Amino acid sequence: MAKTIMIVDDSLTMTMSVKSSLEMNGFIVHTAADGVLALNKLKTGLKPDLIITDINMPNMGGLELIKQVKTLPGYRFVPILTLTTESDASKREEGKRLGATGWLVKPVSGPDLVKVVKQVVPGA
Amino acid sequence: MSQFVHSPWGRRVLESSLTACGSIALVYWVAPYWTRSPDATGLEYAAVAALTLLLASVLRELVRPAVQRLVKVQEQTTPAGCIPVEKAAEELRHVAPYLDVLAGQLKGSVQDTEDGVMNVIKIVDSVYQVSGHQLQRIRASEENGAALSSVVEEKIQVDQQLGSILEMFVANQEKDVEVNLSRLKRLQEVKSLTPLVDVISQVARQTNFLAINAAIEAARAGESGRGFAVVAAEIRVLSNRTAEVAVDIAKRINAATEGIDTELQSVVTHADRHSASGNMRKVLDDINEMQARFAEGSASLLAIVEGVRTGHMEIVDKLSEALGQIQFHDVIRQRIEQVQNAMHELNAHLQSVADQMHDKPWDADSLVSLKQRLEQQVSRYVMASQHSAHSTAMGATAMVSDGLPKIELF
Repeated sequence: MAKTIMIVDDSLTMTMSVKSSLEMNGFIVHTAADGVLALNKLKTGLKPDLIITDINMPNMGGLELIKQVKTLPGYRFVPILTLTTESDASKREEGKRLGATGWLVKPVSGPDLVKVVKQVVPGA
Repeated sequence: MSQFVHSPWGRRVLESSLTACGSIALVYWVAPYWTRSPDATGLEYAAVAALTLLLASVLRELVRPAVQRLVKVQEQTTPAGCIPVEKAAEELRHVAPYLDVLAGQLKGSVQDTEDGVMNVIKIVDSVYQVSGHQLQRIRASEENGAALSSVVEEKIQVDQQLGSILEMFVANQEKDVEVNLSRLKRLQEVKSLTPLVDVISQVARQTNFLAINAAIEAARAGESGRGFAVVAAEIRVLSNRTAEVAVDIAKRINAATEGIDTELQSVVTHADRHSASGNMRKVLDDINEMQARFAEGSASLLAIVEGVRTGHMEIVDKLSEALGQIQFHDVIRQRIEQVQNAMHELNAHLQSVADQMHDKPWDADSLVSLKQRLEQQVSRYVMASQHSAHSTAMGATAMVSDGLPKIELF
């Protein structure tokens, strides 16, 4: 059965390019433009096998989203990868502390991204 | 303030204000009794007023040159030929729309590149769809080919079994034909008995003649020849009987051999031992050849399908790589947005400077210097490349990278 991924990023080109790349490799992909919209989708019942999120977004950033998801019932063990331009080491550490599964710095090549996703998503 | 001072009515107001203040102050100091006492009479107030007016006219003559000297000092602080301060302030105010235009151009550039990138993504998606459809068509062809191959193989196997059975049948038929031929040939040999039957008939006839002769001699012999006559009569009977039997045998031989020649010829003509089995072998050979060609064709088709499948996966990899490269757009967008924010800050700073040059009093504490603003920019950078560009522009050693891995799993 195809695995589901949710991409959270305020950049439309970023969202669409990653979505296309993952769909070509057999994944079902949902998108959200910021942390608030992502949380709303989760609360309506979407249970992705992986969340990929940017850090610097309006309304709710990636670090806050990670924190919220990890406290949401039933979503604690959903792996979360960050895909961001953020280079601040302290933010990387904070992401790790909050429970992120990995930290990816843009730009990441399509094959590398798919490789990491397959490593992180069980059964992919 | 400068504008106020340089205007004619502004100078007059200034002169009048200074004159009035000075007069009142002098009168207050010179005539304390008259200005402070509640018992002062109208004549005393009139005297004070006259004195005030007299002092004002004197003071005006003194203040006017001072105001003129003040205006001249202000004019003298601006070197000859350089832009006046108010003009400089006006120019600074025009920076805002200028920067707005630049910010708009940058925003438009970001939008144009975003539109271009979205088009590229759509094209990439369509290429993937085309490749996917090709793969599906080839897979469908492969399935059809496999089904057809399976049917043909079954058919070939059945035909081969049938061929084997027919071959056996043909072989048996040939054997039967051989047996029949030999039987017919043996039957033909019966015909060779016919001359013998003629001989028997001839012998019977001659025996009959001898018997007749014997009867005649017996008759001539009289009584002594009576016994011989009986024998001769018996011999004649035997010879007649033999002749009849010979005729009968001849008839039977003819009956038996009648049509043998025609049948033999017919059997020989139709029993071409090479024709039937030869055709059957040809059919079997054709079937085997067809099977071999089909196997070869199936192998070729499988190789083509595998090639298309491999090609499709290569296309997917390359398209994924291209889509990954598109992420540069997001990086550039963020850097341009940071420049736009810096331009807005620059504009706010210049407007603040323009205000303090012309309308508002100078307040060094409230004005954040451009140098400080530039330092604050650093705290807003998120990318190592931004830090690097800043350091390079400031003449410091550029940081090549932050040393952290681009991909890190925790």
